[in-house]
Amino acid sequence: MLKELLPKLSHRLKPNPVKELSVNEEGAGLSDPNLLDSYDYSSLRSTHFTNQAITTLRIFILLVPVIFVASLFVNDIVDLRISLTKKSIASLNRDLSDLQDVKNKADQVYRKTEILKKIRVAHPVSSKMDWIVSQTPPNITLRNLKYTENTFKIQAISDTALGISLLINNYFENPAVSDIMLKGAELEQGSRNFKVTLEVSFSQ
Amino acid sequence: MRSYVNQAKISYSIKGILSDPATSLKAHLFLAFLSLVLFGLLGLYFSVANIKKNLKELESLKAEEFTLQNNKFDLVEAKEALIRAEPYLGLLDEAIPNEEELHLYLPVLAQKASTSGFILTDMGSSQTLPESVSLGTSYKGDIMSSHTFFGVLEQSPRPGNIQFIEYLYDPDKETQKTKVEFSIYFVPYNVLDLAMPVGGKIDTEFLRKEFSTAYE
Repeated sequence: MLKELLPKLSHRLKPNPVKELSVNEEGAGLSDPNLLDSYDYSSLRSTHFTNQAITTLRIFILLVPVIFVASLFVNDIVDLRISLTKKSIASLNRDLSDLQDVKNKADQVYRKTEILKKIRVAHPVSSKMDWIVSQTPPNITLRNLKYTENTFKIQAISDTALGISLLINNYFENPAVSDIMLKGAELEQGSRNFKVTLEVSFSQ
Repeated sequence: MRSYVNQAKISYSIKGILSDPATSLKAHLFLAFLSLVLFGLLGLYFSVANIKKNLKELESLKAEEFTLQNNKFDLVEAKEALIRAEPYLGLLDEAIPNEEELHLYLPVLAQKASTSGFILTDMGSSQTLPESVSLGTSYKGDIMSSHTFFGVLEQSPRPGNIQFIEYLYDPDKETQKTKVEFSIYFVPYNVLDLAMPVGGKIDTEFLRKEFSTAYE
């Protein structure tokens, strides 16, 4: 039933386009002055697209050489800057070669000054030696003495044990003395003297 | 006359081609392709590659220029420092000469030792570092009375840096022997490369303090 009705409905809703076209064709023939209906829209659209594409292509055709010319211009600028920098380097080299003597002399003076600073910073041995010798009591004899790397190894002879104590005590008076080690002490058989071996370390 | 006619014909035929949108589009497409190949792919590619190469070269040249410029500034500064240090340079050369000059140093050493109470008995030298000579010396004499020699050695116009002292007393022979090892220094005159900078700034204040007493 529905199947029978559907074609009829569709027929009523959509009038036959062929028929309408035929009316239009008839009317368009002579009496109707409106010619727009006879235009083909698809061809119009394609012409418009073609024109747009041509314009874009024209821009592209122009733009690529323009970019190329611009790149050539940038190239020239970079070349110019290179040549200017080269000139500047050559000029600097000339100036530096004029100052070569100053350079050598300054370098030598600088190195000499640095060595002299190092010598002065290396805490002098002489002041430590003065201390070691001057603080030795009169009844004590220094028999052997060895100095290496801020440390004195001393062998001293005393006729009394008190003299040895006094010697160690005197050495401790110097704040620069960091450590005193009694390495050995013995009583000499023949002379009855006290023989001690000390290690006196300085902090600086 | 004929050539004008031919030109007119060509011009007319081009206009004819371009008046047709499809043909015009094809012609433009061809031209665009040609432009892309000629300018875009070939021209621009090589041009950009050249720009890249040149920019790299420019960068390295600029770096070189910067270094040289800094060297020049340093040298101008060093020149001024040398002028300021001029009064002390003679004493500096005496303290640290340009060469070893052991032949000049040894007589002075022997004389200073004898003044302090030591007798120089033996001496050997070896160059331990490029700018220093290590001296091993032996003396006869009592260290108790001659210890001022070490101060003289360290404070002399050409100062020595003492590394080792050994004093030996032989009670049987009653001999006293002192061995001293120390270094003296020298700085040879080097010709530096143009691109090499000066080692550092000259400390004129230190030189003034060091030599002011001697200079005044």
